[in-house]
Amino acid sequence: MSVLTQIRQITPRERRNILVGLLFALPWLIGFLGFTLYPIVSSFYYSFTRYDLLRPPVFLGFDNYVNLITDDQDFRIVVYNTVWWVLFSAPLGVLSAFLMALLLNTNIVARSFFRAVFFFPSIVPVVVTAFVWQFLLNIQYGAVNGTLQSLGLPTVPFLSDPKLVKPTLILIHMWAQGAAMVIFLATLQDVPRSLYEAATVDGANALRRLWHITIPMVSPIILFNAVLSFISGFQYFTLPWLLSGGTGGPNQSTEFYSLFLYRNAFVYLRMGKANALAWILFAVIIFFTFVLFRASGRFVYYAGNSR
Amino acid sequence: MTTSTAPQQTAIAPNRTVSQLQRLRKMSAAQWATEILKYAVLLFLAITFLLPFYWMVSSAIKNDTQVYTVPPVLWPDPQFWNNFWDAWSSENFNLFTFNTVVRYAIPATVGTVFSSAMVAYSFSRIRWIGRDTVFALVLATLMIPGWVRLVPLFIIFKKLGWLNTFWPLVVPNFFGNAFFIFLLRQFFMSLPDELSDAARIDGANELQTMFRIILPLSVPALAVVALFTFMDAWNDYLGPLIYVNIEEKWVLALGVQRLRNAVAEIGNRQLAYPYLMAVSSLITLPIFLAFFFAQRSFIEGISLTGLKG
Amino acid sequence: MSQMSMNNLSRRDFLRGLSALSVSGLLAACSPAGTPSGSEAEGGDTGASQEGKTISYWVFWGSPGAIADELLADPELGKYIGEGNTIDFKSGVDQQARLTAVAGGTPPDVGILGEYLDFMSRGVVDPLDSYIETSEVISQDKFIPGNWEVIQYQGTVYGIPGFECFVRRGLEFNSRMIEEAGLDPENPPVTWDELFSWHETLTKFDDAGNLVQYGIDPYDAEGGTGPGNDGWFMAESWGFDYFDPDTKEFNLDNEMMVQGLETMGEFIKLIGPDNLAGMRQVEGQGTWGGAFNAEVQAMIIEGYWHPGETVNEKPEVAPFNRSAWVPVPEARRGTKIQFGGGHMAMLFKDGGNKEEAFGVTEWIQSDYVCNLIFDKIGWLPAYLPYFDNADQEKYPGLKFYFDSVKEATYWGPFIICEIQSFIETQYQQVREQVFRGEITATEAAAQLQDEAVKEWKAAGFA
Repeated sequence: MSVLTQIRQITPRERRNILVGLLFALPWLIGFLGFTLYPIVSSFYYSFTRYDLLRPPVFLGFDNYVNLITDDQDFRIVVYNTVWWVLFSAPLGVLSAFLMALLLNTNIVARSFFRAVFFFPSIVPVVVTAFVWQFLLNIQYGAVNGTLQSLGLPTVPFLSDPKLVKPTLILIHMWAQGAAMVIFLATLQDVPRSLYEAATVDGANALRRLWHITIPMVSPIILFNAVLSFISGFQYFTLPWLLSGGTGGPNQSTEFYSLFLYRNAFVYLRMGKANALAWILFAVIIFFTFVLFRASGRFVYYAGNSR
Repeated sequence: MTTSTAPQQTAIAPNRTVSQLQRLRKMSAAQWATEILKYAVLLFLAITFLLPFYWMVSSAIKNDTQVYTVPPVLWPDPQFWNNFWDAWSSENFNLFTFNTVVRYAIPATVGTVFSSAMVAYSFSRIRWIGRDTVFALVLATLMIPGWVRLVPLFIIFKKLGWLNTFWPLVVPNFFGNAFFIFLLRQFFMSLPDELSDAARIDGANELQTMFRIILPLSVPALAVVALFTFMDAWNDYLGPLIYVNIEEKWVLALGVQRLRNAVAEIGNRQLAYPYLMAVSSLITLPIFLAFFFAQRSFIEGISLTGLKG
Repeated sequence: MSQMSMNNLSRRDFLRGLSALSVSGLLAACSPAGTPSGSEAEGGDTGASQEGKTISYWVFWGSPGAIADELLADPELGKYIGEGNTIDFKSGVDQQARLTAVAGGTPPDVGILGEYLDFMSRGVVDPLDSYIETSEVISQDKFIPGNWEVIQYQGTVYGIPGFECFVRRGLEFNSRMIEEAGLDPENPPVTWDELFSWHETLTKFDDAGNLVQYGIDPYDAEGGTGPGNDGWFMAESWGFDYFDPDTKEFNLDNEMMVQGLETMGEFIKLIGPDNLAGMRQVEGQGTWGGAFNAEVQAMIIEGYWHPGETVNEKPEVAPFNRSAWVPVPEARRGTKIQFGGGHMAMLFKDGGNKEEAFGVTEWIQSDYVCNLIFDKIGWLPAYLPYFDNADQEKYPGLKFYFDSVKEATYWGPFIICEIQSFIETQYQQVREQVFRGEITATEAAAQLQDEAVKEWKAAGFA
């Protein structure tokens, strides 16, 4: 744009506005420098070192990165787990939120009651979520397996079979999609009724209306929720940490990227390796987000732009 | 109760019951089937969603025998209501609550609300060159994984001698939260420019305009920010896990985890599960009450964050 | 208006902001990122007034917390830590908490916190030789030799054996369950094959295939850990040294290791790994003994502490408790294994009140403390003067341990390996892969060796 030409013709009023604007933005700017930029830069530096907090850092060059990528059994496992998690949890979480919102957006009685019920799990303290589900799904004393047992059925090792743990986590994840659901619901309610009425007159059935009106109209929100889910999916920590008692078990099946990072940093005190892990994660998240935004141009419909 | 709280609904709300009745009368058999199916699904989901909470509360008032019985005991008889109090006093939960609220959540909330409002004001109500670029930078920071900053921040706080204090958890809140800056900016931008212009003509400076005109009009949005910040602090686990290691400064989440560890000693420790569930219920209760009384703020706040439109 | 501008912003400005961020990041990254090691804060010794010092003392176990008030009520406490001083005692300090406290420079003055070798080898604890020279309570000849061995690193003493030491190998079993299964508690198994046949007899499922009772989880030994200050049970049972501290060579990929992983894995396969993991969710993943106390598990490999702990935790099960020698492979039949090790109190460099903190390590050897701990929890120290009066038959099964000190024919070696906690984690991972049938024991042993050698280099010891 014409930023360069503008700088030359800057008026005293504009200069004053810049000063005042910056002054008001100062808390964020300072915070950005101190709590974001400096940590990121020093994280980058540490990622090239061996540092256990107790002895001074030793510069290693690219060793941390090279070892992780070429020669670390655990790294492969956590990458697999994390990619699995992101690929399933993000779409399924968004889908769950969207379907709940669709259901609530139909003509129903006691809508705010159902909305409250669907929303509430998303604001419960995560320690509570973890321990209540752990208790419910426990193989011996859990309500679910207790019921199965009393019916003479075999119990389901939800949280103890490495193959079942991640799907179980997905279920819990889909249960706690209230926030995304509310966002969808608000958007759905903004879709002009006239559009549906016109479509109904044209003979479009509910499915066609969904496909041709609802989904295009809320596609920016789908993208938004998907991006958020991707970003947070890569950083999934607290629930698997609590559910596995910090072990990432059974058999490393819930050892996600951030658990591995945390373990390296605060259990093994391998700060260098932990920072290298963090930077790989950073790069991957930026890449994924970029790809999502680029790809989204094809299918996301912005009402404001195309009119 | 049936009236939706979302503002766009209020206009049609009064007629809603009437129109629904009319609709019911006009329905065909197929439509009836759809309706029944819809409510069946809704009810099934609602029960599934509530089950964990029901189980939490009902297990809180069981004794060990009732917990370990197969088939599971749906509602214990007799009930042991004193479990709530016994569980609460089995660890120093009064102190943990004090730490969580007074030493963490309240300062964090005050800091976040004021700093985020100020920065959001800059990005919405003051026109300055480069503003949108800087704002985009604010948004971009949302993508930075917390894990990149974690270790360096730990080292910084270590050098500052802030470990085992609440400073690492509280101080960063005084420098604005990108998400809430964004949220408040959206809200501030929806207020008409004429308001500030009038104030400026009256000779008010930006600070006065912000405090006297904009913030009073933005109380709902500020309440949302306050509510969410407070809740994040109340629910926070990772922050205290890393920074606060001495028991006098534990927060509720860490206290609950200690109870969870007692469950690991089953056979050794009695009433481990009822206690865990009792305290879980008790720390969920404030969230539930907040949600019950401020449902509107919650829902609207979350809708606001969703880049509506 | 605002809504529309948001839509526009979400892509273009977002990307612009992103590039701005990465450019500024790069610029900053190119400028020399000096990380001065920071001026270390002065030690906490300064400024303590004449009266009323508070010595912080942490232990990682939870159970001493229950008797903390009684412990601190010792009328003689002042003799050890100075009259007028008090102890700020914390129990149940978990791993993250203690590691971050030590790494973050906020450790207690004195503590029994695990990770002993990590602390010694990284120089975060004080050498204690000079304190010991002048101490009337602490000297080498007053401690069980095995316990004195584990407190040293490269010839220097860094810890004082705490109140949970003594000897640490025994096969405990529940005689009631054994008899019920038609087995003879007077003839406990001595080899792994014999143990396995007991295990088979004692493991029961209901009609639906749910596990209702089982014989033993051999990985229970030492709470499921690998090498550490409690030795390494698997290596001792098969009789190999996993590391040579002189040549710095690992010996993890050997026939004994393979046999060990295979043999112990069979026990888990019989129960079913998922059943066991589910059981552990109830019984706890890090703690052990719960299933034994609940009479779901008939046998357990533990140490001298088990008889006393059972009495204090589950008195109705305790009378059935019996102790025997831990199992060995057929080739070593008759070998009687024992190990002396355990826990130690350390003075942290970043802590203060040094003299008083050392006083705490003396105090915990006193009859008052040891009696309380022995009575209320069931633990014994490494302090020989205390054993003159200790009641050897206080708890069912305890006598075996006292006798075993004289009868043992093989004392597990105490091996100093700086990356032992890493090997422990790796060992826990590969053994699970073995009993889940994902890799063979041979592959597991090779992998363990490989990982260990790599970590040795990566941790900067090579």
